[in-house]
Amino acid sequence: MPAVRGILNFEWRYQTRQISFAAAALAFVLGSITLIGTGYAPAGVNLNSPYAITQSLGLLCLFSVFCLTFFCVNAGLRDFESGMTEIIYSTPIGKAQYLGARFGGAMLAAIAVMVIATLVLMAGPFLLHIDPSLIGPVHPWAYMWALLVIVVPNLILVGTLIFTIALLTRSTLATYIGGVGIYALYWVCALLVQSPLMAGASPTPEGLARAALLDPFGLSAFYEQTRYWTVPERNTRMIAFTGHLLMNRALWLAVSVAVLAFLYLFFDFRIASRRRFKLRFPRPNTTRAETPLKPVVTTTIRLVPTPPAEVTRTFWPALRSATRLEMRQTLRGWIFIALIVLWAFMIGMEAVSDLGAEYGTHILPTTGRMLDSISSPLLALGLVAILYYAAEFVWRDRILRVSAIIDVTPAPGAVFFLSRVLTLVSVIVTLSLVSILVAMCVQLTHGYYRLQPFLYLSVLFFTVLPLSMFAVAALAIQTISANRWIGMLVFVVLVLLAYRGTAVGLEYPLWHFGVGPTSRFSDMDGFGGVGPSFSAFMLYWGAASALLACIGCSVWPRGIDVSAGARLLDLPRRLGRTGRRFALATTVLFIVFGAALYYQISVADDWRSRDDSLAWSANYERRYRASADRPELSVVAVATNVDLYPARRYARVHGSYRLENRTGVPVNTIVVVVPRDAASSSISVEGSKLVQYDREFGVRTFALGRPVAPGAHIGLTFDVSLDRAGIRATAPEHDVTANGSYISESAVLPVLGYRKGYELRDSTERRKAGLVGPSTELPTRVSAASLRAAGKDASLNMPWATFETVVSTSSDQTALAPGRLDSAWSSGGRRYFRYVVDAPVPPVWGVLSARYAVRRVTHAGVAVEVWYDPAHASNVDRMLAAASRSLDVLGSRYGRYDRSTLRIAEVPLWSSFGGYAMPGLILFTENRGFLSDLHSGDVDLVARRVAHEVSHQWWGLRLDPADASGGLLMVETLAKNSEQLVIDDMYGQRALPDMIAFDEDRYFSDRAADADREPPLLEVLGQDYLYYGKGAVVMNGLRHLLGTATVDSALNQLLAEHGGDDGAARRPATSTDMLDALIARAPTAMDSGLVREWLGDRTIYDLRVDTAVATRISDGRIRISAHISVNKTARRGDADVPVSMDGELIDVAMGDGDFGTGRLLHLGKYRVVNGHIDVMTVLPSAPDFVAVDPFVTRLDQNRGNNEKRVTG
Amino acid sequence: MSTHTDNTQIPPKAPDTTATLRINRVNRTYPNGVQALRDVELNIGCGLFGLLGPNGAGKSSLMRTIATLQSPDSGSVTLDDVDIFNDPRAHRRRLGYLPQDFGVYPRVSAFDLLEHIALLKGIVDGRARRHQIEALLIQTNLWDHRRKAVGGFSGGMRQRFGIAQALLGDPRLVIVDEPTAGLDPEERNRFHNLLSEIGENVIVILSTHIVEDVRQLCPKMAILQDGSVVCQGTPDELMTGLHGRVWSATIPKQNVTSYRESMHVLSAQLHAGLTRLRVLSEQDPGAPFSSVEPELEDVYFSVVTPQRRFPEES
Repeated sequence: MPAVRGILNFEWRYQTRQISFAAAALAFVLGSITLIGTGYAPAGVNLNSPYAITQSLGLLCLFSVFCLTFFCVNAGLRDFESGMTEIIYSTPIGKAQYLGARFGGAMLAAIAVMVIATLVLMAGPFLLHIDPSLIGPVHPWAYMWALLVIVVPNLILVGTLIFTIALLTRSTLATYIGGVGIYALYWVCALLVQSPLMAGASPTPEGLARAALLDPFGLSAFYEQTRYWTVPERNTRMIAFTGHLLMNRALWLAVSVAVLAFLYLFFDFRIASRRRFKLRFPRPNTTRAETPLKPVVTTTIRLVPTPPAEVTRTFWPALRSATRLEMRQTLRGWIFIALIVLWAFMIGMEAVSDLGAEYGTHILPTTGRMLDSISSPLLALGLVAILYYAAEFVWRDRILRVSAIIDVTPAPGAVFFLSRVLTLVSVIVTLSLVSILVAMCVQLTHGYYRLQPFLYLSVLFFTVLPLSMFAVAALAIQTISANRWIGMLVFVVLVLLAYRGTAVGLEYPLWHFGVGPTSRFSDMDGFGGVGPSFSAFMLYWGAASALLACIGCSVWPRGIDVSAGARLLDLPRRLGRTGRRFALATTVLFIVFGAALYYQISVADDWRSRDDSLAWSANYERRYRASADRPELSVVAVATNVDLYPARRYARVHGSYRLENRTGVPVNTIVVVVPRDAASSSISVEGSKLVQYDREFGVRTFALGRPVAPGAHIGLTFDVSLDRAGIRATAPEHDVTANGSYISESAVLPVLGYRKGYELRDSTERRKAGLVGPSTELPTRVSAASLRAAGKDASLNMPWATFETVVSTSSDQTALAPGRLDSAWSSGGRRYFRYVVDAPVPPVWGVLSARYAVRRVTHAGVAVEVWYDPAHASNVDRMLAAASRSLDVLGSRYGRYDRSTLRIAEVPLWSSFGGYAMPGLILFTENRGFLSDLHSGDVDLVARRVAHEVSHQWWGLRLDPADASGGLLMVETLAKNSEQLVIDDMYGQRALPDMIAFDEDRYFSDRAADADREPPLLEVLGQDYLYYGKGAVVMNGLRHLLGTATVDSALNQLLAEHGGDDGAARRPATSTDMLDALIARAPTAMDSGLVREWLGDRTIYDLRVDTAVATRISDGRIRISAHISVNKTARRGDADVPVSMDGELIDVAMGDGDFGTGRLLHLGKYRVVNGHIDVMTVLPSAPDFVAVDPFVTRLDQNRGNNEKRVTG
Repeated sequence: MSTHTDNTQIPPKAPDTTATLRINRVNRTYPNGVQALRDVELNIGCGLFGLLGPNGAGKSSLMRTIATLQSPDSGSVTLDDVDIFNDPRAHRRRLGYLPQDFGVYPRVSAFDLLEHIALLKGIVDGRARRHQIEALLIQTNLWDHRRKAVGGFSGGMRQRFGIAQALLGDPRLVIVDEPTAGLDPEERNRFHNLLSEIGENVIVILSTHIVEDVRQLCPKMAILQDGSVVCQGTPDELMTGLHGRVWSATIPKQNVTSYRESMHVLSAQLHAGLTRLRVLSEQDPGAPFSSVEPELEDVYFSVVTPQRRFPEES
């Protein structure tokens, strides 16, 4: 045993004195500082809370694969690489001791690095300049706990795997690939769980449990445990070492032990120098060939003179030969094959999982979607491959000692450098082609045959080209570097600066090596006009790469003068004449391109840093908030001409407003704001003088010669243009596009008065910007009547207006706008469309233009039309049917749809919304709805979305709520209610729970992430998890509680009292009005209490079936007895306090199979008594399950335990 | 000789007697402070030149300098009056180099590897290249193994491969660094024959610490010690210089130490339980010593300083 301690001691000293240890420690210190500095924690969660600590250490753990690879290669392979094997193996040390000591040393070093990182995480918040509100009390035990529960088991697992790979393959590169494989393993698991590290889909509880168990890093188990935790919980609660986390850790520790045992059995300690662990790949015969001794013939070796060849003539053959050899060494190696297999598997997983993503509905595998699945993993894996292969390529000749021969050949350094570049680029191209093939297979197996091979090749431009530049950079770095680990570290820093440079203050786009603005692919609009900008950046970085390549060629190490400094100092001489010219040319190009880009970005396009943008907002507020309450005129009629030039991505919008004074006082000043990204604008107001034009904010102030009296009118004309072509640092705005333009009123139309939307909302940002107090707040919990009494209603809402639009566009496109199509004509090679909205509507307005196909039906006197991209026809009939059905269902409940036409139009996927409703015109983005691919068992997302948007013709457009908190309750929550009614009508009541379960999950998971205190529904502002997620469950609950007819009656009262437009006499509804209408109809105090609680408070439930037992009774029937326990908590401050549920009626169902489709044997309402429900019933046959609240009428934070299999 | 070398196609080269490698006051100190070369001054003409010296004497440093793999701190090296560091690539075109220790790519055959190196050396004409490779494979007796991976070759075959690659491309200067270390006598013999077959118009520098190699092969030689040239000339000249000064005696082992203290001992070899001592002395040291003919080894040990010599005696 002292021997082991001695060896371990030696290993520890050996490992910690390696430069790789120092580099790893430095990298993790920097990583920890970055995590602290960039505030790596959910909003509002303290940087040193147990949650943030665990999350940060978990993330760092992923990167520990790198340092463990170094350490394990060091521990496992240094005997082979340094030729010490015979000496070491002939010592009396035993196999177990040898392996144990070596592995132990590597583990100790890795743990030491993580401990250093932990100390930095602990001290960082106090040493760095951090917002004090993000620092809580220090929990030293939480750091220890995270180290013990997450970090150490992960290090052991990863270390075991890498150490085993290293010793059994005896190949450094194989060990690196093993590292990549472990990453891949993590990705596969992360795909199954919605972790903040991955943008994933909403998983099912079973999927989550599976991931929690199988994720080798335990992070999924951590997220599973904490996903519904609220901010205060995350700040204080310790991670519990129970449940899936405990099982996960036990499982993977067991795996580690098993792998170590495997290593012990298969590691051949004695005959080590030649034999390798045989993997599946057969190796060529390398047995020694002995020359039979022949009599030596004494002759003279005649050297064959070779004519001296031109240097240029010798260059290409040499390059070809070197490249061929390099490729043969790389591409034919089993390591590369393993990498390709792994990659194909990863991409397949990624592509398939991306297709089932949206609210339980599948999506068509279009080529554009496949490109999304490919590009970011390709970039990530490509960079890792470059990191490893660049080191391998540059150092391989020296490691193999071939350089002794190769270095003295007259071939120039360019032969060696460029052959490596070509090989590395081939590796990346191969990876990309494999991913394309896999994606095509995914398409074919999903029955999708529009493969678009040329579109796939865009990957070569947008991903492979930048990767090739990184390849050149990595090779140049390795060529200059005196040590391959340092070279790898420098490359990692380069990559981090390129993609995360903003975090360390390098925000300007010209700092980000190899990065240009990119875009997803839209079937309608291609790459959205990003091509020129991306190409410009590629030219700039291409020049930089050419310069790097030039340096790499010149300083390629020959012989033992490898000191980086000496070679760089010697650079001018090493470059040679051609090299100097080339270097000069590339430098000049780099500077010229850089200067041109700088001009485009900062002068022509007005790029702003984040800080500048924040300062801009803060300055706007400082300058103008004081005038926010000044009486303003109302826009009551809009007449516009919109001239679209799709090919040039240019639009001109000119027209006029009719302004009315709806205030009680004369108005003599008009303030007009034009959106800041307009290319040009001019405004004039009838009978007035421009007294001030604030160009920074696009604010014009007009003084009227004669004040506008109350009730009087005045005209305003405007002329605004948008130019989205040209080169810029980000993808251009997608309002004016080549095909599929959508210009909304907010993008172009001048706005009167103060723009609240420019204010900073985030309280931290406000404090940083030096703003005092909160941003403009909306009135809360007021009724329309009280607003009116306070004389505030006019200013509390955008006035309704009429619209008249003439849109002109290119001859191959159709333009759409809200309202009826009054006339259409062609003139001068352009098409013109005139749309008119005669009666005033809420000012939600926009124009569209694209190469549309159309399909129409006439339903109950309404022309229902779907305008779509000709390639996206698959869901059009379904949409027409769903729209017609929605008009029936909603029209019969809330009054007839009052227009002659209902248009649904497709817009490119650039828009962030799924659907958007304007008067008589509904927009759907191409990838959400038009490309849904309904499988059996899917939620019918198409019908759901159509119903939702159609219902906005009532909720939002007929009932336009007051601009007070809770307003969205009457827009979005009521639309959720309507979509449930339509789906119920189409598929029956039992189709709803699956759909609403997604809304419930949205509430619980996003609520946990919301740092600001969660308001009740009555006070909802921008929180979509409330107005969609919670709202959907609450409306379902209200219908079950009060009855659908009662709820409809309350809503009809709202429509009658507050709907439509009465001009100056408007009384827009508030959430309080809605609450009052419902309360008035609640039959009992219990019911009205629940209505008040669900809308006005924050309570959540936990219902659980504890036992469900079946017993056969004498007449052969089955008696079922079930015990159900219930809990309800209400949010009080930062805590959830229990409240009684006694008296509430809860549904209990018993049946067979799936609740949605199976046989229902019993359904009843049971009253809660003393915190539980006891169910006793007699059925003709035994059910499979007993379920509580099967219709999802309560917000249940653990729905997994609501159902139990019947026993007995 | 095989028909692969077709003498009729290639005009014989006129003998070039002026080919000279001049090493002029070359110094080199490594960053760790070791002075590897001190004022080394050598003129080397055509034919085999032996560079002898103990381990660490600076032989490999000198070889690498001549191969332009490292540059001297001061001094110059010229080949045919052209400074080799002015245009290392031009120099390397005339250079063949068999390093002391080299590796090969795994799974690459002898033929393919020679082809690759030939292309790197600028032999772009496909026919000439193949012609030359085949000739060299035959001459080095590797023809039967040309399709086998060099990584699997035995030590001797590997060294023969090494000389084959060094001779690719008609070098004017061939450097062979410690070629016979680790070879069995048979292979060593074979290798010596190979070296001796290289044409007379080529400068061949053989660096070794084995006196026997030089004696067998080299008409000219120099001895390097601690980075300096301590003597140079033909082996005969050098041996003649010691004529009448080398004495030998066979004595019991226990007496060696006392002789060492009083005399310049060149070598002490065990022979049938007794020690055969060779000493350097201007005068007759008397019985039991008798005069012997100097050998090249005596020359070597007479200039190599004693404290660097005898690890085996301690």
